[in-house]
Amino acid sequence: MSENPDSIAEKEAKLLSILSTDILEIPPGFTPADDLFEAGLDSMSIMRLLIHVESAFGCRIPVARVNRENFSTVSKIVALIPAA
Amino acid sequence: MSCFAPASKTFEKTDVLVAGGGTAGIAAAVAAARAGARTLLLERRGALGGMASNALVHTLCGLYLIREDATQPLAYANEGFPREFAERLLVGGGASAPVRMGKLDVLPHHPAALAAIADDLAHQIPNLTVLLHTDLTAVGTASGKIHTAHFFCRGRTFEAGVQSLIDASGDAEASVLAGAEFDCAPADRLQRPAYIFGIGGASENALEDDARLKLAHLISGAVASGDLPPEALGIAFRHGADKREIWATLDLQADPYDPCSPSCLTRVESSGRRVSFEIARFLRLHAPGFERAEITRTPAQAGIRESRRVRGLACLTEEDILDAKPGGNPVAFASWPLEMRENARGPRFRFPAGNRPAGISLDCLRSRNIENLFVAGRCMSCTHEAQGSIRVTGTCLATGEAAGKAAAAFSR
Repeated sequence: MSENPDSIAEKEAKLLSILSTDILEIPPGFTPADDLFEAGLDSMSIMRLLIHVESAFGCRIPVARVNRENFSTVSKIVALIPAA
Repeated sequence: MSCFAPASKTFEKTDVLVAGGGTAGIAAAVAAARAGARTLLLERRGALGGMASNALVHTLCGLYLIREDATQPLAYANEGFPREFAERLLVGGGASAPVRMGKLDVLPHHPAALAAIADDLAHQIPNLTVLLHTDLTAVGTASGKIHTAHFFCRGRTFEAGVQSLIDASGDAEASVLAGAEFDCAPADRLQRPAYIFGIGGASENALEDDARLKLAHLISGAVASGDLPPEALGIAFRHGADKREIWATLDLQADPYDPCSPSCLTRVESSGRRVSFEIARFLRLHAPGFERAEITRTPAQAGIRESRRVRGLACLTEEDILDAKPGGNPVAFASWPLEMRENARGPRFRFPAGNRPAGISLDCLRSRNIENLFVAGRCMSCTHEAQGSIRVTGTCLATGEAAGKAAAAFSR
């Protein structure tokens, strides 16, 4: 069963807000499809991002799914978070 | 000289005294001596190089102009001594080829080789004397001018008459002693310190492809579960000039932060040491490729990015850097973007218009209230934000050279 689009949009908004308040200087108009590495995401900021994801969404992303491709956009990161 | 030599001694008269033997001080002393000045360079530690040797900073930043893409030719931001020093490192095996990090080109170097190359350079100049293990303790002034410097080594004190002084101490120590005006950003805005250490014995592909991101995953999990202290989130890994070595840079929040307080510096050093050993132990147990890794180098001191800034006849600002202002009569160029590290969460960069460098005028290298006091390196006259650009070693070499030439001309 695929996840409700509203709940995906909600998660994307929540993740963008986490990123912009605590992790990256997100340029105006940045969308969930834009490249996070180009915006300055690096291994140091991924450490903090993972901790935030764990406390905000109550899940831990498995190490096997941690790669550059899966972390390149907000949408792709949200796809790693299991539906509640 | 022996252990029983008199407890105090008067040194021969010096034209230019340089306080601090980091990259700015080396450049200043060499430039002043080559211009004919009798020059004395004082360094507190046992090696020249400052942050680029004693704190294990292992890349020279700000040496090159910013290139939008790697197809454009690589060009030095400052010809003259910065280029000469980089070439000496390259020829002497102290540096490998420049590498590109995002939009920036940097020159990875061996910290100990940089100190050896600086020794070698100093030995070649007859009117330059380098005193290691020597601290400046007092500066005598009269009518807004410095006339003597007092220094200290292993229980003995020395005095020298000086024509001019270049403060290349990084912390504006000579300026404080001379009663020069200075500024300092509020504690919560100061650029944070870094504890850098070397890791040997890891496999050569331990940081390849997605390994770096998986390491981040591993460390964040360990911090969340309490296996590693929260400070471990400030860590970043990078290959050295030699791929068999990995440099680990641990940015520390260090609150309440005061880079000129001995108790704060003690806390920074001890927490850097403690966390670095905890991280190394953790990596050995849990990180693929790190099974046989161990700490091979620890710094003589933590890396300090910002403390006091001398008030000069002019002040370089954030707008000067971002608008890439050429300035009236520039003596050096700042080609590094504003790199802010006001917390231990990684850098935030702001790039100048058209990626062009900003000009630094000699008035930014001269004290506002002490006529014969020059400044070079990270404590030159600038705003807190502009300091995020000019503090890098490439620019320190350039401001050092400019201050050295100016001080030699003044002392003639």
